[in-house]
Amino acid sequence: MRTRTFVGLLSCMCLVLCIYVAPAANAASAEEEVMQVMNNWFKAFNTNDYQLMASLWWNSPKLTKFGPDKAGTFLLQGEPVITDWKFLPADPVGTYANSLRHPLVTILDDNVAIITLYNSQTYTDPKTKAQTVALARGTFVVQKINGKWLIVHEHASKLPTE
Amino acid sequence: MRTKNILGLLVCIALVFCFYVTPSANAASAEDEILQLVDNFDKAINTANYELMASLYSPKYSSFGPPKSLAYLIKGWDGEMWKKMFKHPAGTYNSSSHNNEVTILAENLAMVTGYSTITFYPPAVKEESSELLRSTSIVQKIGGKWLFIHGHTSILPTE
Repeated sequence: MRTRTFVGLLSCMCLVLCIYVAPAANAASAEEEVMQVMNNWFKAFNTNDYQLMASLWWNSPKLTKFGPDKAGTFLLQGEPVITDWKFLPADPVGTYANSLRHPLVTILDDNVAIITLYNSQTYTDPKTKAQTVALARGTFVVQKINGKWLIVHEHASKLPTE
Repeated sequence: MRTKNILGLLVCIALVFCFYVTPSANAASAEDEILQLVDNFDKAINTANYELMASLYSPKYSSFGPPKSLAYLIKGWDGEMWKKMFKHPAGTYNSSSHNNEVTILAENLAMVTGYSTITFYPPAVKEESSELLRSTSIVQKIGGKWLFIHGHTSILPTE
């Protein structure tokens, strides 16, 4: 009888341990989830994947972006922020080689975070194969909307030289 | 007796109406409070007021700035930079923010996007110089006060 009680107790303890450990092993932390958005942004850009890129942004009139070049000088709002990426499939894969540098995720709230980063971009002209390299810095604001982290604002600017 | 009842009821309704209306007349909306923070930033620059400028930032502030010296992320508020800037007399720098848009992100978190014109009037030289900037500010209400916690300011791209 004593052995049975002991085995029963051990079984209960194992069960509690399994319940405690199992979700933690599967669930990513908020930082990891936010970082995944950024990794996917770079993946979409580098593989010219418009569908993946479009899925990362909040499809709302409140979505906003300051771009790094002249075309993105003034605040772009709403759907055009997303459709602006439609140029991607027109270029061959390899045209844009973006490299994510020093990403820093700051969780501000259960559902709000910012990411600061640098992007070293090598552009290869599809015709001439001439390459240009540009270094930019970025601030991304992401929000967890309906259980999914989405980009709600981007401010990208070239590294100042003077 | 009936008149007194009606009168009493009317007084009660008027009282409830007053309670309902008065606070909203005085309390600023979150958007108004945040725009006031941006106004205070301009005011601090225009009056070379270091204490006012220092009071606008969270200790956790981080920023990307427009000049080369602020190209990389600065963690913490750069008091020394402002001290150096405010050694010049009030009126040397003029900041004017415009087209500011506030987006509330959470109960105590918001984002402000907008533009500002910074004009420099060097005391020894007669010619002024201006720079048009665009900015994204993340602000947080800490201890009942809205403070800047992140800023990304950049010059308007030319190419």
